[in-house]
Amino acid sequence: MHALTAFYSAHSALINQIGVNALLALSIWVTLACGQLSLGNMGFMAITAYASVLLVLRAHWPFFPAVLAGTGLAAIAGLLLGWPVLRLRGVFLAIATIGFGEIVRIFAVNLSVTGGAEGIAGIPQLASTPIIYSSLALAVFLLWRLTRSRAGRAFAAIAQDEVAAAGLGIDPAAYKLAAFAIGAAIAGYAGALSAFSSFFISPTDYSFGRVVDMLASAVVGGIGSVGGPVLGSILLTLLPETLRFLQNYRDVINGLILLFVIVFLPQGLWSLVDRRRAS
Amino acid sequence: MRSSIRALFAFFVAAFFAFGSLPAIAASGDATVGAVFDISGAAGSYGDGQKNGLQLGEDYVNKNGRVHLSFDIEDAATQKAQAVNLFQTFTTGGKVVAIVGPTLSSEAFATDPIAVSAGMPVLGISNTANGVTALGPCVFRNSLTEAAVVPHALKAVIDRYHVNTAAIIYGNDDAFTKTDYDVAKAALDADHIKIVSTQTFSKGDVDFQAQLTSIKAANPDLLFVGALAVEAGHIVADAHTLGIKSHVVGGNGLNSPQVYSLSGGAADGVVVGAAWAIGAQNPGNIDFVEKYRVRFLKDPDQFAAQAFAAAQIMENVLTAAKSLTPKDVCDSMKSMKPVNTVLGAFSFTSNRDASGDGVVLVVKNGRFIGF
Repeated sequence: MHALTAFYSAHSALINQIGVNALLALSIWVTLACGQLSLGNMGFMAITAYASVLLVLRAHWPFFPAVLAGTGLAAIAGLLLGWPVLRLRGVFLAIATIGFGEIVRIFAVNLSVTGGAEGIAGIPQLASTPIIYSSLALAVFLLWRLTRSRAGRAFAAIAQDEVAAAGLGIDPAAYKLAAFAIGAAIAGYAGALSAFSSFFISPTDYSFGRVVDMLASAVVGGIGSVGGPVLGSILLTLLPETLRFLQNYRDVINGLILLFVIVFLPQGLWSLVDRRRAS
Repeated sequence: MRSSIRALFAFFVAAFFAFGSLPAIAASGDATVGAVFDISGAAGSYGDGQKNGLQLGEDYVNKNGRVHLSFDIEDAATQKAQAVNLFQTFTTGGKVVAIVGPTLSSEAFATDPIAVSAGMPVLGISNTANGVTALGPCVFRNSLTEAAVVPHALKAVIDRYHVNTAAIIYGNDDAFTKTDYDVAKAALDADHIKIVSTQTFSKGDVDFQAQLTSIKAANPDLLFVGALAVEAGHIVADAHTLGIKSHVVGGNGLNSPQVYSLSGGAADGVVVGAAWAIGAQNPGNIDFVEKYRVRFLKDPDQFAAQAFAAAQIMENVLTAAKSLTPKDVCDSMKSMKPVNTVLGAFSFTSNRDASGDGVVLVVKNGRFIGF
């Protein structure tokens, strides 16, 4: 037990990062499951992070109401953004959503309430490990239920072939918008947890690289199941830390391992689990 | 397939426990100091100099023999999360008595509170943002901030030349360059210099013709550049191409060989306020520059010099400390007497910042010399 507490006190930040990154990977997975490549999730992260941090620090709201209000704001932003951009497909949707993320970041740079480029320091550590992991468990459970529901089947049908899905009486526009808003809400919520577990936020935390990490986690883990993004996040977050002993070769080996996974497990890490079940 | 999953998990669990849980195996020594630098990633060019400077400093200190010191230098890869993890590992590992770093101020705001709550002293060597040392009673830095060096450089130029008007170009999406703007504007206002044009750019921009064209139209006597080395090099080159004749002035960000290597002859006459001069004639510095060139086959930059100075500071702090525990090391830093370093005679202010005004340099024939 002592070893466990010592391990936790030395690695709690890393453990929290894994949980937050898993939520972020799930946020992009929701839209991928519906066949949409949306890359604006760093924008939703930023909206909720700044909103909830400002509500706590300036308006002295309690933690959960502030985070939930921020999450609601991200979901609304997702709906407002989704309505026009979901007419776009594939790479055009990706570009439009990247544009949205960048716009949010530029706003954060230029507004005085967000502290501009200097960011906001001194954020209290309110997102504890139990909060992060119970949130993750809840998200996984709800998303898993979703895939088994009518909406989940509709998502899968749209991802396979939107025209055929419409022919079956599915309303692609409505389901796509729903997926978009759910993804935005999860990304925003994770953004708030990240802000309340890292003392400091600034606009650079919400640059394009962030969404690339989310996408990589989802794809490496496997987008066929809700477990994939979680597995992918564990791998991608742990890998750079576990390979630290390689010193200068760390990035090279890190890249090679990811390449290896993509080449030999094109369906992601989760396909190992699925195959094991099948056998 | 079952075995492959097991093998995969076994690998990670084993690797994590074996290597992830402890900072890289330190050499034998009386005192170990952790160092967190961005050796790779976007800020890699700074961290590389810092690593080199600190390694050279370690050899220097151990050769002196007053204290046996080893630095455990770890790469945070310009990822805030990795810097946080390293600070947590260092503060809980019980092996290090102080931490040098992290490279960026934006990382320091996330990492230093961890050290503060663990009572671990931190010595920032490149953190320049306001408020870093206010994070805790054991957070120090040896880096002169823009607020210390920029007004000095501006004053030197204003005193020497006929300056009535000024323009400012700065990066508005970066804390460092934004501070440049705030500091320069305040200094120019205080001297009643009229600011005729203010232009902004974003990190990573390479073409500054649009901003500089409108600055040229305003025809300022002085052009202040709030940028980091790479952008500054491009700005200086573009300003030269457009025929801007203003006196160009910058801060610590411009104190890099990249400013003249990127802009060719265009950098001649650029005035820079900085914490360190490569040509400073104190014996320690001459020796440092020479050894650095021999070992790394290039000129040291300011980041390397500040890292080397950190080793010299730690040498004195550890020698004077009552015992080699974080608490006593922090007390020793608080009561440190001025130390001769490559940065000159160095001491901390009561706010644990670096004291001094820095140096004012001018580029001449592709070299920094005293202004």
